[in-house]
Amino acid sequence: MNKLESLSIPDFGTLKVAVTGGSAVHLSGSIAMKDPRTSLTPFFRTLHEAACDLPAHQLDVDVSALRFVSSSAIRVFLDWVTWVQQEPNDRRYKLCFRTDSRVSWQRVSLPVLVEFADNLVSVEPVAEPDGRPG
Amino acid sequence: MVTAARAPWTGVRRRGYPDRTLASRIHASAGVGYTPNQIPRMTSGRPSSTAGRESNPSLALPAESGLEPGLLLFLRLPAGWMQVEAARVIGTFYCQAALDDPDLVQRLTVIIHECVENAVKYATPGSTSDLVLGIRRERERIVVSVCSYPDPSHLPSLRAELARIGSVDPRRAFAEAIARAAAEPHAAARLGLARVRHEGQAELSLEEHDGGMICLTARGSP
Repeated sequence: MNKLESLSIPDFGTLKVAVTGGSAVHLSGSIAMKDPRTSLTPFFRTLHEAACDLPAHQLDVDVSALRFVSSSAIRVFLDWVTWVQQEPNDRRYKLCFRTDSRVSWQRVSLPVLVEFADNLVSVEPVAEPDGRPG
Repeated sequence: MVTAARAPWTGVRRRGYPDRTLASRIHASAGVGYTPNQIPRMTSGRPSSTAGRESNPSLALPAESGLEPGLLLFLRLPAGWMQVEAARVIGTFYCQAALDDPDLVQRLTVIIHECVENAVKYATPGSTSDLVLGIRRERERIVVSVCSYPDPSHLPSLRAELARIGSVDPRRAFAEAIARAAAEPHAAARLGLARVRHEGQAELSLEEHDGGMICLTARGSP
């Protein structure tokens, strides 16, 4: 069991978090709380620290079932990307967001975040706009 | 003041107190509605009594009602955080009922959330003023308006932000907002309105009224 799998996951209300396979995190529900930075950052920071030690240097973040996020939540994802950028090369890892193209924030806003650090972040649709698997 | 030359899409105008003229443009045509004589005024007090509201489950208003047929929803809410979620959930519900376009509904959900959150976040501290969310059809467009009483000290930065994000194409404006937020990790993110333009595909305008009320309006593309 790696550090990621042994993480204790707090209750975030409408946001559900699950870790599977030792290198994948699944986020589902919605993030629309008042101050997601205060609520989520400590846990996401722990996730990040655990991901730095992954032998594959890649963390899959499945957000396909995360139906709504506020712009404050997008800021939290941006913080996460900047943490990866600030790590020394041997601790950096690739963040791969697995998305559902039918969800507008994943299709429209997330790619802009990816452009910000396209060598470290990627988007891979698991479902296309017509509902077909990606 | 934002000038038309710098931000042609940003219609910052000063008007007299809108009184019933404004309220009559924003009211419910679905669910809970008001008759013309019961349309509430925007005031800085607590919400008025709900007495007099009528159930009107039909989306199409009868012509004799005197109400604009394109109006989908009017909500008057206290400017508190709990109302951000309430506005988003109720707004989404009515948009789903009225519009057969899931993608448009998602875009409207973003617009509603970000505009109402903005109004709540920058409300006058300690104020008990309400905010009004209105959603209406305007020809081929869906228009979302949020009227509120912001902290006056917030207005210059709101005008500047609207001018900044309006001066470039929506995707670039959102990308620049992301880069700015990354460069200033301890400052407010200010991604919301840029996201309304980019993801919501809406043009933003600001009306400033006497008495400190402002209306932020997002006109969505068809």
